[in-house]
Amino acid sequence: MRTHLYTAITCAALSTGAVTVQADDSLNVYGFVNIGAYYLDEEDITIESYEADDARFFERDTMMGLQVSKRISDATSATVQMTARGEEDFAVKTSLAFVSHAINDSTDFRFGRLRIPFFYYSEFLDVGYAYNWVRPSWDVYGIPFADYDGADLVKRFSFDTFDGQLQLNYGRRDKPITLFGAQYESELNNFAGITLNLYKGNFGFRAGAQQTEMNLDSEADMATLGAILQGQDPQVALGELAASGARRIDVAQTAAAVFTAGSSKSTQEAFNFDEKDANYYNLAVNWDNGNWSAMAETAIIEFESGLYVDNVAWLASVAKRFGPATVHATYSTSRDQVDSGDVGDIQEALKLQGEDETYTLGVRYDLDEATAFKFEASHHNEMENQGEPGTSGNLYRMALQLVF
Amino acid sequence: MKRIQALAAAAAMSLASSVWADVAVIVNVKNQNTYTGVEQDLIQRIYLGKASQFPDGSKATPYDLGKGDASRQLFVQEVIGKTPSQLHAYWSRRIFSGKQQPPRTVDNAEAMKAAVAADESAIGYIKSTAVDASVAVLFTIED
Repeated sequence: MRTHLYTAITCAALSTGAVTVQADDSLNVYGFVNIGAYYLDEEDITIESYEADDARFFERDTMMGLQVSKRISDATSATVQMTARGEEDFAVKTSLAFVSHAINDSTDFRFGRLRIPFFYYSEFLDVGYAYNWVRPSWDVYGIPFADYDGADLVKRFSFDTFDGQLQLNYGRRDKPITLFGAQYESELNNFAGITLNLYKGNFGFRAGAQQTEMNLDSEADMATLGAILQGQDPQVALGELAASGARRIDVAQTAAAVFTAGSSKSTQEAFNFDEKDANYYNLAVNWDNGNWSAMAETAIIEFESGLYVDNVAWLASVAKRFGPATVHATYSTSRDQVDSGDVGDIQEALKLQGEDETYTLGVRYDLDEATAFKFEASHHNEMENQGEPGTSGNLYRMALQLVF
Repeated sequence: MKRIQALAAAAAMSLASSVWADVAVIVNVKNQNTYTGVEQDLIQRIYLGKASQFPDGSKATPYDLGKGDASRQLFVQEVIGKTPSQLHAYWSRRIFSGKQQPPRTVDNAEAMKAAVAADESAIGYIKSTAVDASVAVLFTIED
């Protein structure tokens, strides 16, 4: 369509009726609801927390959120987002609570509780309606925490036909983390990051990096170490510890204490979670012309602690719209990478590493402008799980997801 | 006299039935960019919250019509290049990450004209038959 310019046609008298513009300072209330159910056909694998024959098949993908924003002055507003997940018995949690201040037309300063902008979908990960999948691939989005308390600075800019957004964030997180089904007290200090988004036409590009200093309350089991010193076979003692229901990272830390007994001090000290750095890197590209869309994203995580193995994950997805239906196909993979040298040898002995891939085919059907029905099938292939060959299985999910 | 001409013009335009569905993209009459024009691509970026300035560097504030409005259907499809659902999904990402609010909505063409007439930074759109001297037209989207 050609665009051409002409000034106002004076074909009617100027009318100045009493009309109302929705007031900018009103309370803005938004919300989202995800209702989902799944079926997993293989008992020997767990995909995220999807398990075969789980009576809670309805709770995993069911959650809701309510967000309220209020303008306090021309430049300042406050936002609170509460979420309730089926998995957590719909206990209400505060996922966002911040005050935003516009320093100028293109720069916002926010402080309070924010979401960590790890990867492309991280800041709206819970809002199913916002993307085509029931939820983004766990291979890439398997980070067990999402929020932090701190501040960020968001600067929007344009040059020529490019638009962009630069985000700097800093803060900390002092709340328990659930890892491998067990809870750990944790402190994530000096959470700092930078994210750049660039847009041109149908293209979008994202690069980001986050880093933090991790503290977990994991510890070696002294009774087990004592028994080994007394002459008990280490394999038997560690097996008994694992069987006792000890937390997985505690077991690994106990085993590491045994395996590193003769190693250098630096190797020994690698296997704890006291002030250990973690770094997250992300690159994403996407393209969307309204009918076809494609996106690729890679996420690299480096852990200074030997107890957590570095990970490289990526996904590639393509989607085609047919009227109200959008068909999409996605490949994603996650590969743990043990360190080099002594630390890596011990990581292999601890059998911490895993590798898997997932093929997903799905359809999103837009029932109306705010409601989508989704069905998708995923073939999940565990090449390696805790250092051993894994198996594969299929996960089927359907969901009704809406925003208001 | 002018009024009679206007009525005649309106009558002539109505002969082409499709003209009733055409949508005019409008700005405030004081907007300097009407002399140089505004690329459709820039209007798309302004409505997607990516760009916030007109070509002359002045601030651009987009106004939207409500969901289901016939003019909005055409505008979203032709200028923004998305389906209403895709646009809603796009804004959901920005709203729920707490970063941006979508354009303010007004109830109808009259409210849109009033809003654009009252705000020098405004950009909006209305059915072309509702255009009057209170606003300046950037271009018309033919149905």
